[in-house]
Amino acid sequence: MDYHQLVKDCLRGDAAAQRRLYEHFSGTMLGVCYRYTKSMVDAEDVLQEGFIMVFKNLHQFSFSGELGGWVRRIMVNTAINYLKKHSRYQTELLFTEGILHPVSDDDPEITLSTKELAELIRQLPPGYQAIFNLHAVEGYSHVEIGKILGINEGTSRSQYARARALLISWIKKLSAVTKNETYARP
Amino acid sequence: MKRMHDPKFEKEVQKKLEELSFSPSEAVWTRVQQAVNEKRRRRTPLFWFFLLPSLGLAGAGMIYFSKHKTIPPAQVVRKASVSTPATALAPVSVPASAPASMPAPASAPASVSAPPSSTPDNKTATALVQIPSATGTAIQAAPGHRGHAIHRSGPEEQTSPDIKQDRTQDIASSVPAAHQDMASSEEPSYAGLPGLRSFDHQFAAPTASRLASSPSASYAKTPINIKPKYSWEMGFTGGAGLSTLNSSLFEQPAVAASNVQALMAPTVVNAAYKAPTSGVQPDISYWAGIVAQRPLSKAFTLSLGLDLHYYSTRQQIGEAVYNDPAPLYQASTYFNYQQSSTARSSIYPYYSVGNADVFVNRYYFLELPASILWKVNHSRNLPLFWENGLSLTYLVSTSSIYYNAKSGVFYKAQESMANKTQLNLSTALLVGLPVRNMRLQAGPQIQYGLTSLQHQSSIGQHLLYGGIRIVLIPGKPKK
Repeated sequence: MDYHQLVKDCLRGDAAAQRRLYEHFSGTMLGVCYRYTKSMVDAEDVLQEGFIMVFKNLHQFSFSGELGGWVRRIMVNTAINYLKKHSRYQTELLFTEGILHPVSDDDPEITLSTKELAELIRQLPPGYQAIFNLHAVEGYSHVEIGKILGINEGTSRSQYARARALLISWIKKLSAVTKNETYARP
Repeated sequence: MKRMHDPKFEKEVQKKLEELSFSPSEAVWTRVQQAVNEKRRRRTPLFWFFLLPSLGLAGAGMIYFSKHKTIPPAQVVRKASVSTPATALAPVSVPASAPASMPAPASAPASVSAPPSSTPDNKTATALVQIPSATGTAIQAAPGHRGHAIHRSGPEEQTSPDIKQDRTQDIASSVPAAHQDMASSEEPSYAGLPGLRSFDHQFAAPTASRLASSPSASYAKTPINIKPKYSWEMGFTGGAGLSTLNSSLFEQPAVAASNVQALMAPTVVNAAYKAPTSGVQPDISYWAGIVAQRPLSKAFTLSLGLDLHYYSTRQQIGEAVYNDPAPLYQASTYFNYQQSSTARSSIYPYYSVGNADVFVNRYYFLELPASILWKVNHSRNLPLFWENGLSLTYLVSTSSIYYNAKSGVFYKAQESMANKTQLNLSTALLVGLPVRNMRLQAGPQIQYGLTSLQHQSSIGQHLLYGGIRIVLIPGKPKK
């Protein structure tokens, strides 16, 4: 797809081009939004707000990077703002200063499907969930996460370590259950 | 040393989640499209709505003022000068009938010399007779006159020295002795006279008395009616500040409180339960328009205008209620909404009371302000004006939510529920600032809406605006 032309058409106000851009990215971006929220309704709200931001700020896209990456960053920022704004996420986003503790060297093989893994991440408390997504998936450093969420770098590290440990334990349990089920089959 | 985490795990998670994709519902795109188009649609009509009347008013003003720049034939005002390059002036007002009955001023000299010192301003000294070009007729000399005709003056005549010289002689010979008498060096102040239109009434009385007492007082016998002429001046106006919704002039913004959430979740209710509240906070407001000012006297000036004013307030709200709230809130029946629940929930979202989110209420008003400026001091460099007035305003568009005390929710109301026509009271303290080739007035302004914003409101909702008002009138002030 010629992103350059697509963006130009969108900036001209071409509704068909806007629709094409939306359809091209909406599926993946809903996946991004889904990982940060607790329900599909919330994820769609974030997606909606995110795309409004995309179209509103499309003139700022400089073609120096990938359009997909730019849209993704907007979605992530919108999701974080959404978590901050809505009360049902706010209480659990209050991070406590924890002691940095090491994580085991466990390296579980992820045999789960993509959706199962995403579901497990969504089961994490919102604070853990946001930090895990930002660090493990989006690749933000803890310093950056600290700035985004308004917390200390140490808190981000600590929360991430806990989130990771919790997720690994769940993956192990779920993998064991799946394996047993497989063995139990005739 | 133990590793903090295993990058392999993160990479694997990342790789897996890159594949995560869902199909969003069609409603998401519809809402995105609505939001994107709404923004574009809102800007365009407002721009034209504001620009077209402004252009119309400015054009009408220009036509009006250009037509009235000429002096009516009934009030022919002459500013005569004598033959010397630096001559004195003799401003006289003569009714149209005067020339016909004018006796021949036999004693009128062909020219009168005056001391150069009597006219410090050469520009005014070289000014000639000004007769309205609109009449298009040359005024003939009176019967028995020496036969000199007073011609129409035009711009080219005023700049040609030869013609000036001839014309000056014509005028000098046609002006009776009384004029020449007045044009003596005793009246140095005449030399600094402004244009004919701003003919100062301060010297009208002495002129009349001198005419009456002069030997050839035929002019003076006819009544002289010279009034200071004030004209309309057009300019631009604008300002910025904060606006809010008040219950009354001095009461704080209304705060909505409800126990709706408690009704929805009874388990939360306990002795310490505090009903959530939604406060109204001020937000930015700005406006721009055109203004026409006309001095009524030395102290008072009338000001009329046409403005487009944007007001906004910030409203704390709770969660958005996208489900059909009708069974619980009965809001739909209360306001006679006839839409289906699906349409209602998508077009008119409801919000519970709370402080989870902030909604910005926006109002666009077209305003017709009328005010009186009182010049408080007599300073020429920094004049101080106190402006008081009323403005009739019309709500062009709004995107606001209203609190329904009966149902306990905020809802995006239809525009018909608002009082579209409003009356505002305004006061401002303006300082005239010296700017080259223009007049700038700036100062604080407060405006209060006398009319409540909402038809069916138990508590008043009056717009209150406070900010800076700026008035810019091109051109130098007319003295």
